[in-house]
Amino acid sequence: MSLSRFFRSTGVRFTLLYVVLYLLSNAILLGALYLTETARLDEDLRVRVDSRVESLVSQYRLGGVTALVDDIAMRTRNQIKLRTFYRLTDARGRLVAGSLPPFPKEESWRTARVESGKEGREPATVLLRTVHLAGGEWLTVGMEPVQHEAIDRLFASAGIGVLLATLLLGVSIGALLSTGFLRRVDRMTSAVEDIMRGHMDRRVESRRSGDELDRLAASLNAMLDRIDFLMTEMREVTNSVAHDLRTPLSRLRRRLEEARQASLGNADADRALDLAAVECEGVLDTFNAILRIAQVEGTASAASFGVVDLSELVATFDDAYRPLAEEEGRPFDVTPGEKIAVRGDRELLTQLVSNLLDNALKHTPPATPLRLALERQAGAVRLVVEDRGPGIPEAARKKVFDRFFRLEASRTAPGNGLGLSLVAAIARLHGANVALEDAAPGLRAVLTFRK
Amino acid sequence: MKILVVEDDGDTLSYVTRGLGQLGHTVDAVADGREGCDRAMRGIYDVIVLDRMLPELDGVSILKNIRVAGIKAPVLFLTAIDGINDRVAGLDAGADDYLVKPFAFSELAARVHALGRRPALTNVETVLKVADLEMDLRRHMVKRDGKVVELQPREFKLLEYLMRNAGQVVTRTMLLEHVWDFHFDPRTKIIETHMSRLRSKIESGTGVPLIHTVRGAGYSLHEPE
Repeated sequence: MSLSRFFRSTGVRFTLLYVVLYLLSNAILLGALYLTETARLDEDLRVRVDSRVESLVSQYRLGGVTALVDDIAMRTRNQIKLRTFYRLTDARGRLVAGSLPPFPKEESWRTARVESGKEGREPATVLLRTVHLAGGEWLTVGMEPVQHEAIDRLFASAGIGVLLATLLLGVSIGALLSTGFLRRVDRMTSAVEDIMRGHMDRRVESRRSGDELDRLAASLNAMLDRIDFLMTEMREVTNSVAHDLRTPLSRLRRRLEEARQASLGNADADRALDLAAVECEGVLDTFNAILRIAQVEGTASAASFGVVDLSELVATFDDAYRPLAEEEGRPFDVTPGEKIAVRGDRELLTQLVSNLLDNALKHTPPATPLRLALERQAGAVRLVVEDRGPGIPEAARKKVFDRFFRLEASRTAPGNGLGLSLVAAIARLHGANVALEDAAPGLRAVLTFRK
Repeated sequence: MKILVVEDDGDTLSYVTRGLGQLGHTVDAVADGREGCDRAMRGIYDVIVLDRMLPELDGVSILKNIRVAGIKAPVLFLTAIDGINDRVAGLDAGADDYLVKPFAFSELAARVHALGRRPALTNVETVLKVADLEMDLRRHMVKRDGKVVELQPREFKLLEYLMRNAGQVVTRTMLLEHVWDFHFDPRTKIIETHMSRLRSKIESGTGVPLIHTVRGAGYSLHEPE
């Protein structure tokens, strides 16, 4: 499968869409959680800074600057994990205690990056509060939001986990879809394609589960039944018309024959009778051809099948048609191959080849070269009838197999438009494929027997 | 010739009977299978024309019965176009020739005549002779007026069939069946072209035609009258 076809497959598209949507919704959820959690932590930190400031201020109120300095020193010494930074300056701005750098002298909240004061540690981002004490001193307290880092790490690992889980889930759901639902769609498609290839008895599978696909399958099958019914009915009408009119027609021909035999020697009357007999013969031929096709189409089993030596058959045609080809000045190239045989009905295959050759003779001008060849190709046997005539336009190449279809160019030529229909019916009976190709210039009819 | 016609379609039966009668044959016409079988068993006919579909007893059964009873009279089997297997069944049961309905009377007459001549052919003939045309079947050689005529294998077969039925009319379909094994009529002039080649080979120089075209029926090879 090429890459572009891979991405065009519905299964892959569903999977990708699913993964993207799931990732998006998880990202929104995680983001919202992260925001509320950090807001809560911010608030928490602010409360803790506040309460530290307040306890220091009350120390100052009780014991003045000295008590405050002692308190700060004690706290700095004792702190283990959660680090708090201080700066105390006297009214003249000289540093009395703490390690923080100077800040503008105003009561405020701010965040700043500060050196941690210990070797080998990263500068820390801290939340700071500065207050103006009663004696004119400035006190700044800063706390590191240690829990923020933990939360960031937590959300990062949760994000990766969710990403992996989503991918896993998405791919497995995609696979499930492809193997289940979509495979059913695939099977329906292949059934429909089969029907289009002429297997009119194929039907789309249905699971009787009543889901949308089943309803579609049921509708398709009902439609096919209807088409089948109409086609059969039309064919039966044609066949029974052909069958029923044959008896009166053969009587008519008989009467004409009798009238001709009882001729009174009137040349005009004789000619009219002869022409009438020829017309009658033509109609009978058409009816016989219809019935012959019906008979071949109605033959289900291969009861009459035997081994048919196609090489010998082709040689017979070489022999039978060569004088005719030579008389018309046509080069006639025949390749019978060697002992190429298939299973089939010899008489029907003879008729098939004859119809193809007759068509080539009838629809190409004299002196047009003809080729009849039998060849083996990749495990298949190909029988080719080719001419260098005007060919058939691509659009009409399928239609010429339809009953009574005749090309505009050949309407005046003798024939009934049934020759290729019989060819198609005989090919179908033999499980062979018949195709018309452009021989550039000319027409190539290829009959392929698969092994 | 004495001919038995067993056919249930009254129109066809009277038409065939009348036609064969006009050609000077004695014809017994029967429309019922059982009676047809009884008549055929008498063994007095030169040719039997037998329809496939008959009331009481069908054509194939009659054939089997009379062959078992040792009746060797040649049988022309009539079949319908939509019964391709009927022909095979008929030939298997012992028919000598078949004809698909509807047919032209000339076709039926030609085949009945060809069948009527058959007993003579069962003698092992090695040389066929018509006027100054000679065919040596063993040496595969044809001479006209003592001079060897070179023929293609299929032309030889064609001429052999004409000579075996010398004096009779052979139709296009009979030639297609016996010479090429084509059991249908390609609407092309393959017979005509083969025939004109054969004619030019055996009639060149002599000026006396032996192969005659019979209008609306076929060909006949016979001595100049």
